[in-house]
Amino acid sequence: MRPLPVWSHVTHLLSPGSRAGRVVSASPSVAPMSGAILAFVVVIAAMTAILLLGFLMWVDYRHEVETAEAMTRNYAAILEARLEATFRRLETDLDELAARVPLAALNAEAAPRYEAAVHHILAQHLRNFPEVSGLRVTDASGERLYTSDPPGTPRSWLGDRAYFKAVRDDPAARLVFSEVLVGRVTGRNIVVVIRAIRDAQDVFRGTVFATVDLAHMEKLFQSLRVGARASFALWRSDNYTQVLRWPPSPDRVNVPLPEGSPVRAALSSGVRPATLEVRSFADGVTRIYALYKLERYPFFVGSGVSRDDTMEGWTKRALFVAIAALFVGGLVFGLLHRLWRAEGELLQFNVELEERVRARTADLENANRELEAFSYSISHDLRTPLRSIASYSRMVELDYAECLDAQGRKMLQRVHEAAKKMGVLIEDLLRLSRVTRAQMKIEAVSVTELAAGIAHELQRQEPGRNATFKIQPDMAARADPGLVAVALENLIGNAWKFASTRPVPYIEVGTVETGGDTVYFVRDNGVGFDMGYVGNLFAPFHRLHGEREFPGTGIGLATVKRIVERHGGRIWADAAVDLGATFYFTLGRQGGDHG
Amino acid sequence: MDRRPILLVEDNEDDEVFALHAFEKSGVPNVVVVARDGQQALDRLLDPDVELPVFVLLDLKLPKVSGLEVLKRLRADSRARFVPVITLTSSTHDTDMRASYELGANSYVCKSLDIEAFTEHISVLARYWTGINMAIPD
Repeated sequence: MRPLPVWSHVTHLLSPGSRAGRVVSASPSVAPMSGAILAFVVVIAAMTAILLLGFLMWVDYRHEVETAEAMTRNYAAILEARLEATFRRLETDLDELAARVPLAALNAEAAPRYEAAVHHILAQHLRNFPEVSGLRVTDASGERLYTSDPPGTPRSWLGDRAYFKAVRDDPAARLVFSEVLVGRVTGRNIVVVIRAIRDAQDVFRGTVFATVDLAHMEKLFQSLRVGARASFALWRSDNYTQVLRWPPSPDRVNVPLPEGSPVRAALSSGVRPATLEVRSFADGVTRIYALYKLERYPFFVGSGVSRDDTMEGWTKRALFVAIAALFVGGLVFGLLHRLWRAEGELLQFNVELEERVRARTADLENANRELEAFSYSISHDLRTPLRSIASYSRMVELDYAECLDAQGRKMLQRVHEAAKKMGVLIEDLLRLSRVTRAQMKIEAVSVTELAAGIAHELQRQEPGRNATFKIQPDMAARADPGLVAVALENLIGNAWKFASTRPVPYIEVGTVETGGDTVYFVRDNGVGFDMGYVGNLFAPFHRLHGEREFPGTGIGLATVKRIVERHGGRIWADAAVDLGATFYFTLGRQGGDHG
Repeated sequence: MDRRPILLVEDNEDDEVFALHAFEKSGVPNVVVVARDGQQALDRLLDPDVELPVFVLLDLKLPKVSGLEVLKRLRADSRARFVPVITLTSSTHDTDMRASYELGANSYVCKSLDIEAFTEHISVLARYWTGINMAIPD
């Protein structure tokens, strides 16, 4: 038989099978599970957040790129419109000049005569035309006869120039543009735009031409600057040579774009406008370019913004988001790490706790073994001298009665009775101890049958008493039958004892239902007691009545209380002097601590 | 009637008096031999030259060799194994009674505080084992 804990509440806390024990063993298996789920949820949430952020940043990036493309297209369109307008005006002016310069003025002999008039016309056209630095007229040989320049400018001969020959030899050529030249007067880059003057018979009589100052266009490019590394350029569309570029790249002027250049490929595809991302040959900057080809003239303009500059805001945002994501990620990881560590500590703590519970249980079992030995010793060693007292006194009483007088016999009788009473006391104490330690066997108990049996036994022992028993039928409980029997013996025995002075002792055993609990009661019409003393009613050796009046050891109710408590129940009493007493008790719902 | 001696194994002098008193009251004429500890009892019981007792009244709480140990060795001895044994205890523990019967005791008597009840109990058993029961082989 396994020794049992002395106190029932101690059993609750420490025995391995108790509720506390189960909680301890359950938590290590539950905690990591919830931790794993939490970690899984956090990781999923973090991944979702990263994907969402990534998507948002990608959308943002596309938006930035599209904005940059639209911007470059707009700038290219502005430039295209500006240049187209300039060239149209120039063409119109040259047409007009070709008509206004008299054919007769187109020979060297007549020149001095016409000089003032033609100069006037030229100067008139030059006015308010900042893109053009000069207007000039040649004869059929290429001899420059008139100019808008101030008088005294030395004459020059253009007969060997490619653009002169082109306009002279091709009657279909209306307007010819030269490559980039360095102006003799200004020293600045210019482009010559030349037109033939022909008579009614379509005979070539001379030319009128303009020098277009590229510096003026460069200023235009500068004025459009967007971002430090924006770029604008003007190329020839017939031979893909560079005319003008901002920022300047003088060594590439008049040099054709290399074969296979993406710009050249985009231009030859005929898409208008073309947008592309390209790394510049000139400065190595990657730009988003928009290209527009002029409608009537052999040029196209390009406008480009540095991709890095355009994306600067986005890059900053992306960087910020990445840092924030890293920070939050680190925070989450740190929290998870701490959670896992705490879990580990909890696990460790539980292991230690279980170890402690085991150690305490072992201690308790030890203590119980000692108690067992102690109670054995009491029942044996204490009873041995007591038996000598009781037995010898009785033997003298029986065998040597004639040697004593009445007084002596009476005293001897007292000795014998005292010894027997002490024997009863020891028995009661042992029962109290046994009730506390006994292994409980919970089963269905008929309280009615137990009570009826006890009543029957009491009446059998003292048939002279005219007592009335009222025992409620069908009282059942789930409890330890032996312990419940001991409890009922004590309670009904008490009732029997304290009602003994009544003419008709009345003892009732029954139940009442309160709050779903079955409350058993044992009621008598005996002497009762003063409720003022109820506090010590269930303490061992405590008695409310004199030994002379009612014999007893004062251990009975303490025993009943232990039994009720071991079943997880409660006991209380209600009484009044001379009006009887009622003892109530419950037996718990599941039958208590199960030992 | 079996006139072999009765063996009383008891260390407590008072208890010896009560047991002898009970035998006297029972009217059983057999000689009572007293052993004061377990070893003395065994020495006598396991000696082939000594006559076996008609029965043994054996206290469980003894010096040197405990009553239960005496019982165990007695039951293991080929000659003495059928000697009737009545165990005697002052404790009210059920465990003593159970252990006694498990080791082969024939009866169990609790040393009562009531000397009359004790005397009556011993008397009945003494009369039984010396006179009424004749079925025990020698």
